[in-house]
Amino acid sequence: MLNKERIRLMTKLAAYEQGEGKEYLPMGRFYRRDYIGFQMLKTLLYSTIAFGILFLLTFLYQMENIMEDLYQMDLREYIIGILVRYVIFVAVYQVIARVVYSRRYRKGHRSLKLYMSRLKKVEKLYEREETLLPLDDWEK
Amino acid sequence: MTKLLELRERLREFYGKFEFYIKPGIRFVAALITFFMINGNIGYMSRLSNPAVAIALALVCTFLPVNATVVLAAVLILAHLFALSLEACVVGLLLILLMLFMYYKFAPKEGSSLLLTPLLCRLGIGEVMPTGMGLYKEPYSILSMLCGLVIYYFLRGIKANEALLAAVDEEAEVSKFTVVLEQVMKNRELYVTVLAFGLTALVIYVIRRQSFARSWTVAVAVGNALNLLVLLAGSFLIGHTENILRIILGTLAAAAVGLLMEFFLFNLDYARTERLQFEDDEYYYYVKAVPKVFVSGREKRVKQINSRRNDRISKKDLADEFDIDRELLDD
Repeated sequence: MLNKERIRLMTKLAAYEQGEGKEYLPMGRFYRRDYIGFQMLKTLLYSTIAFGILFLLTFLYQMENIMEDLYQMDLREYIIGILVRYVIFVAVYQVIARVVYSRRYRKGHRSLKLYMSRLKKVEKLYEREETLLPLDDWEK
Repeated sequence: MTKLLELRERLREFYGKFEFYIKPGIRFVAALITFFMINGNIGYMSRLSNPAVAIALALVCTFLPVNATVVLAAVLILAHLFALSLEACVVGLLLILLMLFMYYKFAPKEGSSLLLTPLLCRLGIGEVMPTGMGLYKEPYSILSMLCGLVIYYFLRGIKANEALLAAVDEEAEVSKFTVVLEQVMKNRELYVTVLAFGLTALVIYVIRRQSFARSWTVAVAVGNALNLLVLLAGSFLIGHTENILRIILGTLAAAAVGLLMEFFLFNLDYARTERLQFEDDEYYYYVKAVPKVFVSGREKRVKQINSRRNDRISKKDLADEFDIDRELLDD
């Protein structure tokens, strides 16, 4: 027997899982702090790579000048300058990541709650079906 | 107006019915135009600039998400640049990787605006982009449009310097890397456009989120006025006065597109029909879920039947209303 009520709920669940929920479902496995921490770590990695590429591009751009001045320039100062820039770059990214991901977690958690409540309803419907069925058989 | 509303309703119905075919169709056409444009403008690798290749690639893109088109377009561009000069290819690759790690790792769904921006810029109506983004997208996706702008100006610069880059001259005065990178780093037109488009999209977004009446129209008007102002001022400052007419025409096109978008998108959900699959212990379910039509708030009209101000009706009014002689009402 098809249970229309249950199918309706399951359709909504499936729509969520395949749409909006794709992004949010993994969040359910994390605590808030772990989720944000993990995302910030990922951001650290990506922003480091991005800075590396930026550095490479500017290096290529100024290659000729650098080659010419190589012996006169203060290498230590040059490296410190780059490191300072790197720290600033990464720090900006970390701040943005922190804001964005804590907001995303809040939003995701709210939508997951609705999902979970529907899931529970489906479960209850299942249970009821299962307890009812043998009874029907018996009545026949 | 009623005709237009009917048209809109019919379009929505049509879209809801045939969404299954329309979406891949749009993807195919978009991919095809993209690949043809790349081949037509920077088709340095003759084997790839064959139309058959473009069509085959577009067919592949039809069945994949938009981001596949973006990736394929990037590969195609890099291949052509490689045929032109190794330096251009390396810089192109680095630029694309930079965008990937600075932005697309965090907002992976923004491929369409990245594709559309260079296309519209090439067609001379790039001004449409900020209007569309502001009206339709979230504020962070504006960055995606800006990435598209960088790509466009980079490729345009490469095209303008193709003779220089293709030459096999070891004793060149400036290295090819410098020439290639100058297309991005010293391109003042790029900076002006980035500033103008970014600001415009942001302003349009902020205004259209306000709750006053006709906020979308106001947003389109204010945003495009600002865009025009910044672009024109920038053009005069950097001395590029030859494309002023194009900028004005582009902005007019943007305003027109903005008004069209307002009409077709405001308060209206072309809500998607969903096709879903799931199973339980006994069955597989293939469900087509069609959302119910909802009436948008805008079409609601309140008709006032009795006016409060004029409670007392004179004999003259009554006679007029029933179209009878006033004297009949005399008692």
